[in-house]
Order: sequence, then structure tokens, then C-alpha cells
Amino acid sequence: MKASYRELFDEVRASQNLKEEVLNMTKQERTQVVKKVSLSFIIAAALAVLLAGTALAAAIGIPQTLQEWFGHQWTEAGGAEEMPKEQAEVIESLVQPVDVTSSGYGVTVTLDSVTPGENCLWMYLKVKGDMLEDEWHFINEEVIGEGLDHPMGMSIYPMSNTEEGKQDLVIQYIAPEGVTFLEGGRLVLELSDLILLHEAGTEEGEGQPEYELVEGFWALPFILEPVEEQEMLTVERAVVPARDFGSEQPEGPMEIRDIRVTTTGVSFTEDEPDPEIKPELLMTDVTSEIFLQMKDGAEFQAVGRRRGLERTRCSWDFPVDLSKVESIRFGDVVIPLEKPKK
Amino acid sequence: MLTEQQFTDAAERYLDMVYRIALNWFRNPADAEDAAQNAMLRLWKTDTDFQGGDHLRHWLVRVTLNECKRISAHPWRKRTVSLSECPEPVFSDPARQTLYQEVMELPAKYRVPLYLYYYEGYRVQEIGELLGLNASTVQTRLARAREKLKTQLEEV
Repeated sequence: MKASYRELFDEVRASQNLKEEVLNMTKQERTQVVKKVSLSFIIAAALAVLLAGTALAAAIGIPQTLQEWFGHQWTEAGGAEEMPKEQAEVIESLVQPVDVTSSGYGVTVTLDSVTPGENCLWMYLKVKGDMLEDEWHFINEEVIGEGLDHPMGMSIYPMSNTEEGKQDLVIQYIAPEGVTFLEGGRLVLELSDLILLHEAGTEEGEGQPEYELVEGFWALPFILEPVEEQEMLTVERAVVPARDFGSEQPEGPMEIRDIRVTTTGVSFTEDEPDPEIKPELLMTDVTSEIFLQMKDGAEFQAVGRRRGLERTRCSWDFPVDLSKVESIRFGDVVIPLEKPKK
Repeated sequence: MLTEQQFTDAAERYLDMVYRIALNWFRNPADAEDAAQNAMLRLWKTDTDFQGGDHLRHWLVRVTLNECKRISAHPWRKRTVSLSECPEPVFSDPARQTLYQEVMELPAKYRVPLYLYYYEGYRVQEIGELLGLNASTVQTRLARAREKLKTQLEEV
């Protein structure tokens, strides 16, 4: 007779000892705790974030606003040396000043400005604190708002420190499926806990980097204004190349539908393969090479693929002037794009 | 911050869930209890203003998984425990005992999505977000876990 998985785990319970330990936690004080730890997993995660910041610092100039950061992204993506006026105006029109601050635990965080996209939100933060003299990062970042329970991802871009104790960050938050930030709303950016990296020893092989955990919490409520004009370029369907996730070898063409190109990204519908019928399509990726092609010949690659239950979505590195877009390329398949419609 | 009563209610409601997630991660009840205790301590100390039970539950699932990752990476926690050394829960039905052994023989990368999907009712996309995997990878792991358990599971 077969057993039920659910009934199986109905019988798996925490021990009485554990329950008592947990219920006794209310006798503990809830004060800030500073612990020195050395965790290889957190080292790996911290280095991944720090390396991204190092690459950014190598660029010409250090952005100090969201507009400057988008300008940096434009340059890095291969945009013309001088950004066209209309492109700059698109970026400027979407940046919303916020200027909300939360202080505590020795750190002050200011949410300087935000830029909403159809399904992503960029946020520019300025962080100050005497303890931030070395490298560090937040452990948890969360955006609270209606329908945002299950975001599809978040990317953090630390800027180089312009002075000790200060660092700017750009956070790109990818919304859950079906949520658009263009409608505006009341949101809260919540940040919690810091990991500080203290380099121990100066010679290679001497000592190990030491991590300090600072438990803290910063909440930054803000109002996102709705974006009045929402431009979009659409294509009903196209056949595009697909690759295997793991080997990146071609797997044959796939059809995608309802392709929508906006100022901040592209989305489309892939027919979700039934693993029983088409197991070879389960691990395919149609997004390894998606480029927006501009009338002046520039190409901007899509980033941050998120495959939801209904739609697959990617973002551009910065808000794009759709009036200058000519086509979108999936691998070697080029799809012309019509004039924007509202 | 939760009041003492709110925390006690949350513990009564969610401690078993936290423990089960950790047990599926580690297989070893001792490590699972450590992770569960750490996760609940974070709940007691957090300043998060929870907007409803679902928000708190989801927060706890994420924190539990983070605690499991942190403990797994700790130098003196890296050890392999054979199944024979893990004390098992005692089940009322021998078929469940057999199923538990078979579930625990699966790699952790299958056990955790399996639990989140079949017991906690998370969707594939949500599991992907919790575990940092894309939805297709989650689907593949669920399919492979079902394949291995199909002679034992009622749900297949």
C-alpha cells in the first residue's frame, strides 16, 4: 500500500525539548548582538557582491545618483560617448526623488531616489556608518507592498567607497509575476543585518578574513508615483533559437508569443513544456542572446532573465528611449519592431 | 517586533514547519534542531513588521533556509552522517516508516523542494525564488524525486 507524503510529515514534529527551548526565548532580551564569525559560505557570497562592486569602480567616474548610474550603465553597454538628449530625457523622466532616511544600530540609510519599470524597480541608497570602514553588505533586503510577497529576484550593485564610512548602492528589484510598478503605490524597503568583512593579517595565507555580524533593521517607506505614459512595442509571435541550460548547445527553435518591449525590459510567453511529453525542452533557455537593436547601430543585451509560470521577463540595464529602437534580436533571428503604441 | 504572545502563537503554529524544513535539509535531527532554534531566535529578535500570517510564514521559511545554509557552511559542521546514525521518527504505519527512509535517502536538493511543494503547498516559481533556482530546475528536481519515490507515494 502506498503511503501519503503529507501524512508522513504530519507525524514529523519538533521535539518537546526544542519546543521548550523556543518558548523560553521570550525570556531573552532583544538587544543588538555583535558576533564574530567565520563562515565560508558567507565569505563566498560576500566576495561575489564585492567583486561586482570592484568592476563598477573601474569605470570612468563613480556614479552618485541614479541618473549617473544609468549613464554609467549606458557607457558600459556600448552606448555612444555622448548620450542623446532624448535618451537622457527618458531616464530623467523616470527617476523619482524619495529622500527617506532610517537610522539605528550605528548606521544611517537614505533612500535617495527610485525608478519604476514594468516589472522591476531600481533604488539608489546612500549608507553611512563609522563601522563601514571595510567591506560589508546587508544580509536581507525586502520590498514590502501589495502583491509583493514573492519577488522574482534582486540584484545589488555597490558603488566604490568615496570616503570611509560611506557607500552608495543600487538595488534592482524584480517584481512577482503580474505586478507592475508603473501603477505606483505605497512601498517599504526593509534592510536587515550587516556582515562586515575585516581583513585579518596582511600576508597571503596568514589568518582568515573575519566576519562580523551586526543585527539591525532599517525600514524606508516611500510612495511610488504612477508613470502616466506607458509605451510598448509588441510582436504577436516569433520562432527563436533555444539552447540547453547546462551545455548551451542549440536545442532547436521554439515559438514565443505576445512579445512586449518596454522602456525597462522585454517579456514574452513560452509554452511551458510538459516534462512527460517533451523532457528535452524542460531545460532550454531562449534568452541566452537577446539584444535590443537601435537605429544608430548600437545593441543592448537583455539581463536578469526570470521565467515565471506565464511569462518570461528580462530587463535592460537602463531605461531605453523606445523611439530609437529598430528591432530585437534573439540569437541570429532579428524581429523588426513597430512604432510605440500607448 | 512581535509581542511575547504573538511569538508564542507563531511558535505553536510554525515550529514544526521550521523543523521539518531543516530536517529535510540536514537529515540529521540534531542539526535540524540547531537550525530551527536559530530561525526562531531570529523571529523573536526581528524588527520586521509582519503584514499578515502569510508574510510571517514566508519570512520564516526564508530565514530557516538561510540558517540551514549558514550552518552547512560552518567548518566544523561539514560532516557526513550515514543514515544508520540518524535517529528516525517513529511512525504509526510501517509504510510511512519505509517512505521516510526512502525520502531521506534522496539528495537534499530533491528533499527540500519536495517538502515545500507537497507539504507546504508552494508553487514551483515560489520554490525557485526561495532556493535561488529557476523554475525549470525546480520542476526537474521534483520530477526526479517523484520518479524515485513513485512505488511508495500515493500522490504520484
